Amino acid sequence: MTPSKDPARRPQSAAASDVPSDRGAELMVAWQRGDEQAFHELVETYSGQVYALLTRFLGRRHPRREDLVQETFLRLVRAKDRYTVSARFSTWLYTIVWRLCINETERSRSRQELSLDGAGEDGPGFELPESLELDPFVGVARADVIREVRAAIAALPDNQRIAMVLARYHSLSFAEIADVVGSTDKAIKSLIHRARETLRARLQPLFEREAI
Amino acid sequence: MTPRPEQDPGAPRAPRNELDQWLGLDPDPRLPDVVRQRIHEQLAAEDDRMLDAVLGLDVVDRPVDLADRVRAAVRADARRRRFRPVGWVAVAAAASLLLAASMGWNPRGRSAESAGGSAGGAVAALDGPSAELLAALPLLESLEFLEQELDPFEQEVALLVDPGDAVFLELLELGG
Repeated sequence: MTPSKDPARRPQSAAASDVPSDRGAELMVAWQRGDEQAFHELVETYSGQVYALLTRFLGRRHPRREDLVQETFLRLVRAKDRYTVSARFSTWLYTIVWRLCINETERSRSRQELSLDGAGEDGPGFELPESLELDPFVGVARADVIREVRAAIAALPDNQRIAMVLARYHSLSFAEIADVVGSTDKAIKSLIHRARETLRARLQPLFEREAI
Repeated sequence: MTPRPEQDPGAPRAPRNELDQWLGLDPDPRLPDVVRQRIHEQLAAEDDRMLDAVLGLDVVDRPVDLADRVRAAVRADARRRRFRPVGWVAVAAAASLLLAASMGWNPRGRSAESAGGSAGGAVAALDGPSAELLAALPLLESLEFLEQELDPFEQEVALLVDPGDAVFLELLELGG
């Protein structure tokens, strides 16, 4: 699942006419015409979603999530003139995020290998403490459930995780996810099915406990 | 027609056993396949709903002022990119200055030497002793002689005497 070189020029499977109202695309076009306020609104609307996607994919321990949000928008600025309304704006934006995620994952893996090589210095298990980022009023039992959910998502393979997260938390269709990660609808459907099976098997005991 | 259970004609009749055998012919009640399929689908849908509900508990809060920091980063990057060409011009200017300085170094030194050392200064001194230094050499030799031959008081007197004090020198010579 390697993304194509230029998301701004890559043909998208979902046509613009399929998208009834896409505020992101409208803002992007307005910004291209010189409306700086439109860019401000884009950042306001989408920075949180980009942060959430990075958090769910890279994990809450990752220290560079906010830097990567900034990097995403810097890339958006550089690709401003090449953008054409051919799909939902968020699909295009998530393509940039996905590429950053790949780079970051590879960098983290090589860093991890290096730290394992030098295990005598820092110790192999050196990691930042996990930040739960939970509401202090969330009960202990609920906190355990949330921790388990996060662990289950984090344990998914990269391609299953990104597909599942985009589908469940960002409401992207199979076709849109396929555009983001450079795959086919069928492959995405299969990835999401497998991811959900894995999650169901792991989280089943919580269903009764939570009694949702 | 269901077949009757086989009976041994010679065996004593056991009404209870016979009844059990008759009842054993009744098959277990089974749901129709369509109904079973529907139940499986409903259970799977319920599982999906539960899974989605549990996944929905994981909420990511946006950090405070994230959008402001993103906008600030974009502005800073734009400024950097605007000044990048100016930076290159500055680097090019500095490089050409360095080049000019390195080319001008040797000719100036040589010209100072050829001009008799009057304008060379410190740069000319690196190329060799200046004419002034060469002219001062006899005096330095005299000073060395004075240090070796005279006592400190005589040295002081000798250094104070101006070569123009001819009368005084004559007197000194007559007195010595």
